[in-house]
Order: sequence, then C-alpha cells, then structure tokens
Amino acid sequence: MPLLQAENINKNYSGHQALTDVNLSIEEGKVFGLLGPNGAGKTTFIRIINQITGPDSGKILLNGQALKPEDIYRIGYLPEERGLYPKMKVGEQAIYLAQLKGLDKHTAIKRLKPWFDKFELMPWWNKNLNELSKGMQQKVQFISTVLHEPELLIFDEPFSGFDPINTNLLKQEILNLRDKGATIIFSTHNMASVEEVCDDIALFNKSKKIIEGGVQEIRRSHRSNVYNVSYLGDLNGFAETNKGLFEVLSQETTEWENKITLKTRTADKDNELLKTLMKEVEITAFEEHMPSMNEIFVSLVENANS
Amino acid sequence: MGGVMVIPAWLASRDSTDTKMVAVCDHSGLVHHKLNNNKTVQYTEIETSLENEYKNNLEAKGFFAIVIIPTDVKESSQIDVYGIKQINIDVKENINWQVNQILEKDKLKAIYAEANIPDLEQRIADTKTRVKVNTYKVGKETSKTGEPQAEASSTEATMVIAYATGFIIYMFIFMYGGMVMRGVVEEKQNRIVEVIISSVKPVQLMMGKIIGLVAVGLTQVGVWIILLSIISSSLPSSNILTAVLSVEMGPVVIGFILYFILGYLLYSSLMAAIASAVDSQEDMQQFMLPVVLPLIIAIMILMNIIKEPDGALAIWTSYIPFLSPVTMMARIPSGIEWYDWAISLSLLILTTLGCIWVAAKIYRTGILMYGKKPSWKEIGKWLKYKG
Repeated sequence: MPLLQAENINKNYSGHQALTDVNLSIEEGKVFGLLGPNGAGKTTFIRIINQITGPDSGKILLNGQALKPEDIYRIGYLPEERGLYPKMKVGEQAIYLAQLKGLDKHTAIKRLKPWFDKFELMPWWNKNLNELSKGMQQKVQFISTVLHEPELLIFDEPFSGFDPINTNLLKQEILNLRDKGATIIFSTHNMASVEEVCDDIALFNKSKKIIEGGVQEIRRSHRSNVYNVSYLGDLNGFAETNKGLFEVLSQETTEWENKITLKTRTADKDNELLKTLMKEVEITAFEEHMPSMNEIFVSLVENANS
Repeated sequence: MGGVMVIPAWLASRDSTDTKMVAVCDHSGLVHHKLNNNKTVQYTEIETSLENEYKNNLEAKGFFAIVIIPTDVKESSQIDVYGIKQINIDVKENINWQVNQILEKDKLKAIYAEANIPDLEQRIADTKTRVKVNTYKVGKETSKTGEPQAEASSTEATMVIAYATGFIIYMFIFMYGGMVMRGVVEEKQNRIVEVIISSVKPVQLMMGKIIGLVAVGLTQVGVWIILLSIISSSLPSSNILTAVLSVEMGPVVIGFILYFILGYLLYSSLMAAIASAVDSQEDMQQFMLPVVLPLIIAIMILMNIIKEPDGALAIWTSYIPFLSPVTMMARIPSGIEWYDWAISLSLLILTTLGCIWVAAKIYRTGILMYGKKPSWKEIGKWLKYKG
C-alpha cells in the first residue's frame, strides 16, 4: 500500500506554474527519488507535503487519509536551504528542534546520545554551532531531521556540503533508516547516488511529472540495443559487410583484446547477435549496455524541452 | 538606555569651559567699568587710541574679539564686534544683553533726574512682580458642602509625564520592533527558517517572536516602575515629587501599558513582514521608511499636543491608530473622557488585528523567497496566495 499519494496537484505562484496535475504514489519502505532540473517543481512539491504551502487544487494522502496539521510530527524534513542558529549551543539546539517535533526533553536527550556518539559529535555538545565545521553542522542537521523517528523522511539534496567519506556515511544511514521501515523521499541532481540509493523515481520537468517507476524498470525500458563486446580476432571485414544489421558506435584496440560497441538496427535478441559474432571471432566479454540514470535524465529532459 | 536621553541634555546644558577674552574700546564713555565678567566672557577695557593696534593684533595680544562702542551709541544703537573667528552666540548675547542694560539704565537715569521724585529708582524696581500660579483641576462631582472638588495639579509635571511616556513608547517600539526585524532577517539568512516552519506554522513563528520580545519589554518596564516607586518612596517629600504625584497616575500607567503593547504589536508585525520580504539588512531601509513614518510624525507633533491636549490636533491624532500610541500618551496625563479611550482603543485594536493578519500573509510567503528584492506590487500579490 502506498504511504503517500498525490492526486492532481496544481500550484501557481502569481503567473508562474510550479506544479501541473501531478499524480504520484510512494510505496511504504522504499527510497523514492524526486529528480528534475532546477525549477522543475520538486521543492514546491516537497513543501506541499510538509504543509509549508498548500496546493491550489488536488490533495495529498498519507496512509490513505488527507494530510492533517498533526501529520508534520510523522514527517522529517531536511530542506535544501538549511541552517541552524549559529550562536546557540549544539546540544541545546538539537533538543529544541526535537521539542518542536513533539518529543519531550528527556526522550530527546536519550535519543540524541547514540546519534552524537555515532557521528563523533559528543565533544561538541556544549559548543556554539558556529565553532563546528560545515560538515559537522550538516550532521547535526541530519540528526535533527531523523530524531523523532518519522515514518516519512524527506531529504532535499542531502549530500550537498558533505565530503565523499561523509556522503557514504550518510548514504548508509539513509539505507539503514529504510531497512528499519521508514519511507524516504530523496530529491537530488546527483544521478550516481540515485542508482545506488533509490528504489523508485519520478522525474519532473517544467512543473510536470514526465516519468515515474522503479529505477531498474526505467533503465530497462530505455534500453537502446547497444552492446559492449570484447573479443580476440578481427571483426573489421564482418562489420563492413553487415552494415545493414548494426551500427558501430565505437571501437578500441588494446594490447590483449579488442573492444567494440554496437547498436543493432533490429530489436534483436541478445543470443542471436552473440551467435552471429561467435562465428567470426572469440568472444571474451559480452554485455548489453544499460543506460545510466544520468543518460535517461538528460535525454528525457531534452526531449521534453524540444 | 537612560544615557541616551540624559547625556545629550547634559551636554547641551553645560556652559563652554574656556573663557573668551574680549577687549572693549569705548568711545562713548558710557560703558566704562560697567561690564561684568563671567565664565563665558572676560572684558578688558583698552585706551581708545589703541583701537587699531588691538584690532590688527587681536590674537597676538591674547584676545578673542574686540568690541567697539561708538560715541553716538545712545542714538545709533549700534556697536561693532571684531573677532579672530566667527563670534559665537554665547559671547554675542552676553555683550548685547550687558550693553542693553547699561544703555537702558543710563536713559532711565535722565528721566529720574527730570521727574525729581524721591526714591523713584527704588520704587520702579519694586513694581517688578512675580506671581505664582497655583493650578487645580475641578472634579465632576461637587462635595457635600456644595463646593466643587478641586485638586492641586501641576502643569509642568503633567507636561513632563506626557512627554516622557510618549517618548518612551516611541523609543520602545523602535527598539523592540528592531529586534523583531533583526531576528526575522537572521533566521532567513541562516536558512533555519524552513526547518522551523516544517514544525510550526509561519504565523506561530512570527507571533512567537513578537510576543516573546514584548514580554522582555514589559519586564523591563516593570523593573523600572518598581525601581522608580522604591526611589520615590525613599526620597524626602519634595516639591517635584508632590507635583508628579499630583498627576493621576492610574490612567497613565494603564494607558502606557495598553498603548505600548498595541503600538508595539502594530508596528512590529509590519516590521516582521518587511524583514521577511527582503534578503538583507541593507534592502530593508527602502521598505522601512513608509512603515515607521507615522511614528516619526507622531513624535514630531508630540510637543504641540502637550501644549494643547484638548485641541483639535490632539483629539484627532489620538484617534488615528498609527499615531495614537504616542499622541494619546500626551493627552492622558491631563485627563481624557471615557469616549476618547473607547474610540482610540477600539480603532487601534481593529487596526492592529488587521495589520497582524496582513503581516502573517506576507511573512508566510516572504520568508521562503530568496534572491530578488520584491516590489510593493509583488508583496501585494502575496496576500492572495493560498495557505
């Protein structure tokens, strides 16, 4: 059952259409990637879920029921534009933010301790926030987002401002949270992280959702009959005579093997192509090229804009 | 903060410390030995023949200025002063006043001599009279004896209280309104605001800030009132104290607290809205002026109202919501009618509620707008956005 459903969401800011008829369904216990170029409407959509702003029409259902003001306690939100009070003590601030999300002080402290230990922030508990490095401030912010153990977590560009080591740490924590049962909405431009982290995605462009589905499913459906082949021997003559069957996209010769990238003109079966090639040369590796999310993202957005 | 009011007043009331040396060249012989020295000016008479020598070497001879009194001063009523620098007002007035006195006396002397009345000079001096005006306020009810109830009152104390309370409200609105504004801009610049408003409603955040700061302000006022009452009760009874206490303090205190809270809510909510719409303290100036202009006008006309607390200007401005927090305080100490309270307060309360509503709408949208400075027109559009 979907945890969150959006039905025909429209939002207009004085003449600027931010969202047009957006329908979405986010499954419970999955990491859902919200992708799209700048200004596509992702942040507006996230703000509507957080009830920071309301839709002009349409509705959001959480567990099948229309959003209520109390639902904010079931959501954890890490905005893209984020910050904390620079002159407030780290611990005090974390407790304050937890209290805003409905935790009492005692529970907040009890839950903060393990997180602070894990992220090595304990020595900074009584320091002012502006004494911390940017990365550490982001960790405090992350902890504040997840501390009230919400069912739905929303991360808007969570990795901006993190070094690669901390990015991995954070990625791991996000997956841990999912494994513990949280549903996660993940908005980003970083396509590599989408493949690693997301189960499902939706792609937004110019206020509209243009695609939605599982990451593997989408990649599979965007296959374009391109194959990477490594072989021993000579294929030049064969390629020349079979121009009608396939197109050579690139060719490379190394010391111990040759590589070729082919695009078949007919939607051929993998085995058929392999059989044909096997007759000519000795195959050392054969793989269908799966488009990366990055390629799909770029081509879809370009198609939509042209 | 008291220093802000006291120091300029103290500086203004101080006499300048260095004494100016002034040479006097008296061709008429009238002024001879009659000029008195004081802290500001010290006079030295010189030989009339040396006039030009002194005039040309003033600085070398250690003088600041030279006064030339012509022979026909009584007829022409003109004297000349040459100085090494611009003659300042203290020196000029001192010379002017002293020479006037001397010439007047001289003219009077001639009249006394002519009239030939014994002790005329003394008798005329005795005609100078100073009458003390005791002021009373007549009550509405008459006492059992049939005489109207009248209380001793003090015009001066009433004026001082009127000015002080009006000014303090003006200052507090600026001070605490400014704090609200800085808080809002800081939260927007730190970008913490989106984190907070995903937990509380924007209007709650705004009102929380405004109410929190007014609580600080009222605590401060409370401390002042307690301190003042301790000081005044421990002081020996004096004229000033009796004068101040002759003003009915109940309405003043109630009025002060009501008009301070309402005026502050009115202005600080608008200031919060403005602060939410801009990205930086610098951009704020442009939007600030139209908002605080009425407050500045109120403080400018405050003195006129105090002089005539029942005049048309006073009555009308004490009804206008954006002015009344300051102007009403100028009227309360001299006593106002119940309908003055009713009209002024109800208009102010309605306007304040309206402004908070408008401010909340602007704030909610403005706080998440980054990048460009909005125009008034755009801010107007924000009012129509759906929550």
